[in-house]
Amino acid sequence: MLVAATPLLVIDPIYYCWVQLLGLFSMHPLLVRDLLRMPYWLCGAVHILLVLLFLDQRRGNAKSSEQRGGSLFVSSGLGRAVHYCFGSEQIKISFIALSCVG
Amino acid sequence: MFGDYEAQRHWMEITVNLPINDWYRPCADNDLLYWGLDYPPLTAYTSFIFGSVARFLVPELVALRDSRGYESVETKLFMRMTVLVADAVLFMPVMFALSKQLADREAAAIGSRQSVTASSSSSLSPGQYFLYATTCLLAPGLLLIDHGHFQYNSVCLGFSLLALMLVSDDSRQQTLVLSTRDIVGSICFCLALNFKQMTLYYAPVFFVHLLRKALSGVSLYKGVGRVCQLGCTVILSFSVLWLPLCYSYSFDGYSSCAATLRQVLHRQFPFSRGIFEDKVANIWYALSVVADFRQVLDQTQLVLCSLALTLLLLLPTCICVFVHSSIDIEGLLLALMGSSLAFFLASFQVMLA
Repeated sequence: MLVAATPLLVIDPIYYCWVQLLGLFSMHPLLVRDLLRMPYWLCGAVHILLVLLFLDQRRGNAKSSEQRGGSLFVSSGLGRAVHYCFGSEQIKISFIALSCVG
Repeated sequence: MFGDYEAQRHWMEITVNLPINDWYRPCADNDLLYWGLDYPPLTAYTSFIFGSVARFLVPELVALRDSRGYESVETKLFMRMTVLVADAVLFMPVMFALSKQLADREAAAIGSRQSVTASSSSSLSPGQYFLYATTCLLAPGLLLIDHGHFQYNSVCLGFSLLALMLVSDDSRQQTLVLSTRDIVGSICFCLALNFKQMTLYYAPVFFVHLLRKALSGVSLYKGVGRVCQLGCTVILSFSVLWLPLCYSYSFDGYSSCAATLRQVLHRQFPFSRGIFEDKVANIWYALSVVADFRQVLDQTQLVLCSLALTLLLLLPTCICVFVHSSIDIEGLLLALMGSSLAFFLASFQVMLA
């Protein structure tokens, strides 16, 4: 399931990142049994970081596009919500928080 | 004792030292209770190829009997390298190509919603594309489940995604025509299915999608012909991969050949392991907290129950794929997600093996 969701990140990064993390959580008991608790958290944190970085860059694209008269690349409701919630300050805070977790 | 790493190593040991028709059946040198080969034939052939290389580079890795549980820096390095080779040869290029296709498609979709001047900025820059592809390749599920457990899952996933790219309706002039791409896509999916039975998760989507394409826009007679064409492709692909397992039997040993193939099939679906194990969080595991069906139903009934529930959960996805006149790659990926989720949640846990 997760491999099919992975490339769809480009369509909706936040939603498919959530799918990845939720899918991984369903394997949590198995991973804990295999002594992979720490890699579980680390991989999850790295994935969130990469997605946030990608989202930030896409936002940069969208902003430059907007300045030239085009609309945002995100036209869906979820996309707009993400655009509203994840300003650069929030992303920086997320980075710091996730770095601490890592 | 030991884990999937030892299983993969043991399969190399078995395939390079024993005749092909002994790979799946118990004999003096093949104790099936010790990580017996229980994956489809393409995995066995891959093990044979890697094992043959290991014979020259690290012979202790594949020494019959003596190599059991043997681990050294060299053997670990060799085993890890084989996974990386499989990743580099198949999975990574396919994932990069798929990412590129989806990114371009998304950029085109955004561009069509924007003004012409803005459309150029909607496409991903090389840096963004690299970040996107890296995020895909470093997905935690892939790292922890597929690589962390030392599996060559990237091979079957690579073949599956390649098949998906080939059979999707993107960039086609005439989407209803069953083309050579669909035939090659079917072969790729057969290879995936013959590498790991877990790929059955995706089979309903491929089946329904190709069936729709075969039957769409033509007379029933022609449609049946196309279905037969696809059927022959599948049968031929399976024959090429399965019949070598009968290699050493003479013509008068037909029954023995059939028994061997039955044994190969039987090895791949170990229902005796129960409806769930290893704390995999499917529906049956969750329900066991409230009511343990294993105490009430026998194994056959459990198999039928899980089959019925899986088919029920698959139904919306399959109907959706069948009724759509054209499904692009995004739609197919979503359908694959739905199909695999249905299998993960409701199927007999042997499908997770």
